[in-house]
Amino acid sequence: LSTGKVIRLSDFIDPGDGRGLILELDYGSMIGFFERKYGLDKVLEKASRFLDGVILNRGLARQLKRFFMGRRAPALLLRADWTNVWRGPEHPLPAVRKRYRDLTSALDAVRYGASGVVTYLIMGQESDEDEAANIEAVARLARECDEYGLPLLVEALPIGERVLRENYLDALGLAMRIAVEAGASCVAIPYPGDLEGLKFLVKSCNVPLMLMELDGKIARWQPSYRVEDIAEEALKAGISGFVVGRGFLERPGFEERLNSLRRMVHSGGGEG
Amino acid sequence: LIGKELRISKILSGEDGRAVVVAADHGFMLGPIPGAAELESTLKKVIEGRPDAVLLSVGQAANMHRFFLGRDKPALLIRVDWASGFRDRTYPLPARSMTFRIAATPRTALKLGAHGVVAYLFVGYGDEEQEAAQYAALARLARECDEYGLPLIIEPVPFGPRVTKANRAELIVLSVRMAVEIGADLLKIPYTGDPESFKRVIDAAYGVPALILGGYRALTMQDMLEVVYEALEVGARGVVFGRNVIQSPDPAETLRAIRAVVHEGKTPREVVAGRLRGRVKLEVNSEKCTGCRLCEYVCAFTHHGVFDRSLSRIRIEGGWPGPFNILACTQCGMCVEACPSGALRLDERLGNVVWDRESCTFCGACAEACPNGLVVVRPDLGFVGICDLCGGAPECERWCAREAIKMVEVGGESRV
Repeated sequence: LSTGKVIRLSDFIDPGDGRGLILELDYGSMIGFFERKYGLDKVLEKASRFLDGVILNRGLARQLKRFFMGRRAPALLLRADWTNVWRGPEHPLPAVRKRYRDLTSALDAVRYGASGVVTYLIMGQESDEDEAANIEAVARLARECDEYGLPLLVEALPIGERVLRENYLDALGLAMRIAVEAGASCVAIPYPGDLEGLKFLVKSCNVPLMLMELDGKIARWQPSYRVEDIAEEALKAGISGFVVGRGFLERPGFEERLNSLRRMVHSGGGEG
Repeated sequence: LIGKELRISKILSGEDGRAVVVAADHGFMLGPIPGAAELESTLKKVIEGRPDAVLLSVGQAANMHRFFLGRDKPALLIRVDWASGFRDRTYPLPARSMTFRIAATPRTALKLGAHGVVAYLFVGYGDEEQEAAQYAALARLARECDEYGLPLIIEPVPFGPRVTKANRAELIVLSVRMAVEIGADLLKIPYTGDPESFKRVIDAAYGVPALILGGYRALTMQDMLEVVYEALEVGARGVVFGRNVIQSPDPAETLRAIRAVVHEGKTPREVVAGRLRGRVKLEVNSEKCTGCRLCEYVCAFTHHGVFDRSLSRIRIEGGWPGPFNILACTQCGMCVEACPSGALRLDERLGNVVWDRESCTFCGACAEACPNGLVVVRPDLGFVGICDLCGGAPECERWCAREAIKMVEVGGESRV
C-alpha cells in the first residue's frame, strides 16, 4: 500500500489493534428515505463517538459534514456506486432486474476530504456481462484510488438465484478474492454462516476483512444473523471489525449496542 | 470545497479552531541541522508533545509515515517547494542568489496522505523576474489544490536586500495580502514584533487563519511563549514552530508548554511557573550586577503598573561605579514568624511568601523583622509587598541582562 493509503486506512482501522467499526448510512440513494424512524442527524449525534468511519453518498456528506470535522471525528467514507439489489419485494418499487452503476470517482472522494471510497462487488448477477462490468468498474476505481493514495473498501456480496446454502461460502470466497485481486485495500463481507467458514475466508484474504450486516434479502439463501451475536467469535477468528447499517439502527437501543460493539471491537477501548 | 474544510479541521483541530504545528522540513533547505539530522528520533519526541500537525518534506513524509497512523496522530503537511536563500554564510555552500522551485505537486502530497501543502512566497529579494515566476507558480499550485480540496498553506516571507528593519512589518502585510489573494487557505507568518503591527497583518489576512512561525530559536521558553501569547491576543490562530521545538532539549515538554498557551489559554507566566516541581528561591550574584536597577523597575511595574522603585521587592545597594549589592528575598520566613495576625504564610509548593489582605492589620512587624529590609508596607495604597517570586516566573530574573539573578530549586540545583 502507498503511504497515503496506509495513513488514510488508519483513519478508520485503528493501527493499534487493526480493527474498526463503520456505520453505513448510504441507503438513501438505493432505497429512498430509509431513516424516517430516527433521522440521520440524531443518529450521528449519538453514534459518532463510537465510530471509526461512516459511509455516505456525496449529497449527504455535504449536509452532514460537521460530524467529520476535527481529528477525533470518524472518518468519512464515500460510496462510489449504486445498485438496486436492496429493493426487494417489500419495497414500493421492487427491482425487476438487478442493476449496478459506478457513480463517483476517487477524485470526487479526494475533493470531499474522504478517507476512503466504498464500492460493491456483486457476484451472482443474472447476466455475465453485468458481472464483468461491475468487476471492471471496481478495478478502474482501484487504479484511480492508487493515484491518490486513497483506500478502497469493497463490499463483496453474493446475490441472486444461483446462490444457495451449498455454495454460499464458495460464492462469498470468490467475491472476496476477486475484490482483493482487483485492488481492494479492505474488504467487507456478510457472515458466511459458520465460524469455520469465516476462519477460512480470513486466511485467504490478505487485506483487512470486515463483517457486514445484510440489510435485506439479496440471495436465494443467505445466513440470518445479528452482528452483536457473532461479534466476539468473529473477532477471535481474525476479522478487522464490522460495517453495520440500517438493520442495526432499527433494533431498539442502538446507542448502547453500538457502544458495547465498540468495546468488543477495540477490546474495552470505550469511546473514540 | 468540503475537502478543504474537513482537512483544515484536522489541522486546526481543537474546539478552539487553533493549531500547534511543528515544522521539521529544514533538511530540504539547510541539510542536517541539529534536530533535523536525526529526524526519526526527533519526531518520536515531537509526537509525544501532541502537535496538531507536522510539516515535512516529500521524501521524509514517505520515510516517516508511521508517525501519522491513527486518528489521534497529527495531521501531515508537506512542503512542496524548495528555496536556496536560507543558506546564508553560516552554512556550507552559501547561496549566491535566491532561487526557488516547486518540488512536488498537490497530487503527490495527496498520495502521501497529506492534509495540506506548504509553499513560500518571498518578497523583497530584488529579482523581480523570480518574484513574478514564484507568484505564477503559487497561482498554479492554488488552482491545483482547489481541484483536490487540499488546503494550501502559504508562508509569506520578506527576504533579501530590499527588506529593512523599517519596512519589514509593511512587507509582511503586503506579502500576506498577496498570499490571500492568490488563494491561501492558511497562512504561516513571521511575527512582526509587536501586537499593533501584527494586528494589521491579521486584518490584511481577511479572515484566512494565520499561524505564526518561530524563526530562529528564542533565548528562553518564556520569551517564546510571550510572542505566542501576544500574537494570539490579536487574532493569530496558533503557531508553526520549527527550531524552537526540534532543537529544544525536550521537544515534548516544549510542545506541552506551547499547547498550554494556544489551547488552554494559559499565560506564559502560568506555564513557566507550572513547570516547577518543588520549592524555589532567588539566588543572586552581586559581582555580575552593573547597577542598572532594571530589576527594581520591573518588579514595581509587574506588581503595581508603575516604574516606582520604592515599591520594588528587590533592592540594589551601592552607587556608580559600584560595587553593587543585590538584596533579594531568601524566603527565610522571619516575616511570617513575626506577623501577629497570621496574614503571612509560606506557599507549600514554591515556598514563596503569600500575603492575605483580609487578615493584615498593616502593623509593620514584618518589615521590622526582614533582615534585608525588603518588605514594603503601604497602608495608604492598601498593600504589603513581599517577594512572591511572581508566581514562579520572576520578572527580575527574566530581565536581568547579566544573569545576576537566578531562580534555583531549594537545595542548590539548577532551575527546572
